[in-house]
Amino acid sequence: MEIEVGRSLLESNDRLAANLSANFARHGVLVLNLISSPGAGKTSLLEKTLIALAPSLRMAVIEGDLQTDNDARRVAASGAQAVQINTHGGCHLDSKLIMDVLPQFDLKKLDVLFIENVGNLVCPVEFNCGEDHKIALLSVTEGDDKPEKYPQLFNLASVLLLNKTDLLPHVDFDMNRAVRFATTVNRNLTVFPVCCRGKGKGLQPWYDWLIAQSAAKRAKAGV
Amino acid sequence: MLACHARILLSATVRCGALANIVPEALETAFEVLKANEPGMQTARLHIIHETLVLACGVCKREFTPENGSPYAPCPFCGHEFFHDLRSGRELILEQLQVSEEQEE
Repeated sequence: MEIEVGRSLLESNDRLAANLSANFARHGVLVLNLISSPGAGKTSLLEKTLIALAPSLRMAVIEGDLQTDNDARRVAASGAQAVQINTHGGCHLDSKLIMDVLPQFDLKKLDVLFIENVGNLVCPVEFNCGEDHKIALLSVTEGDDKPEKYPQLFNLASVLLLNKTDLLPHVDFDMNRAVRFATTVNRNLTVFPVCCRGKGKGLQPWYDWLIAQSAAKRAKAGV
Repeated sequence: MLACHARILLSATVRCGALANIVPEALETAFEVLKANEPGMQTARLHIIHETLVLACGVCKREFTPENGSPYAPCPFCGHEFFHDLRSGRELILEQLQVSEEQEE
């Protein structure tokens, strides 16, 4: 007997993601899924962002890592709530994992929820976590060919942050090449070159984008 | 409503897009591991249908399948290199199951 199924293998995750998305929309919480290679600077970006925007936005973080709560402790030092998910070998976060920790947050008191995904340019792209936007982070030390090698992330991301620009004089990274390939697969991609070390550099456009996106999300929810 | 009380899975057909981030050999290995732990799957076979990449040119809007499978291929009609839209290639669909039925109602 043949049974025609014709359903996505990711359907159960997509269904949970839709529930999460509806919940976030009801509360006017902007949710951003940060995706990059390990070491690209996701946690450093969050540390800078959480401190700089603390007067303007109420923010919290879900930290995804295979092991340790090192990153959760780093971002919690900024004063923001941070909840760690250890995947114990899993290479990505999914909606079930987000749903399990969500009761620890008071969505009524949040404007922005960051999901720092497990460091990986492939698998996290496939698993929607109910986010409004995927945010891609690429450091200049990784090479300018990464958008060409991993087009899916850059195809689906709304923002690309090119990090560690302070190291540009020391590495063979062609900014134009990286941006060209990333925008070839996504004409709507917004690109911010940034540096998250020291006092930081180039971060203001990213902050402005966040504030505008949060305001739009809250306005839509009527909160 | 058809209720199927199948006990034995004979085959599963999965459609994978070229950009679905799926390595067919890894999917086959996972299927074999699953079979080993499921009595009703011992003889089951996995069929993978490969879905090619289809792009729509950002300028002339015509659809094409790049010969090299790359989303960065120039449009074969107008030569434009940038901003192609993805029409298909990200699918991961369970299309069909073939089962032996014990009872049907």
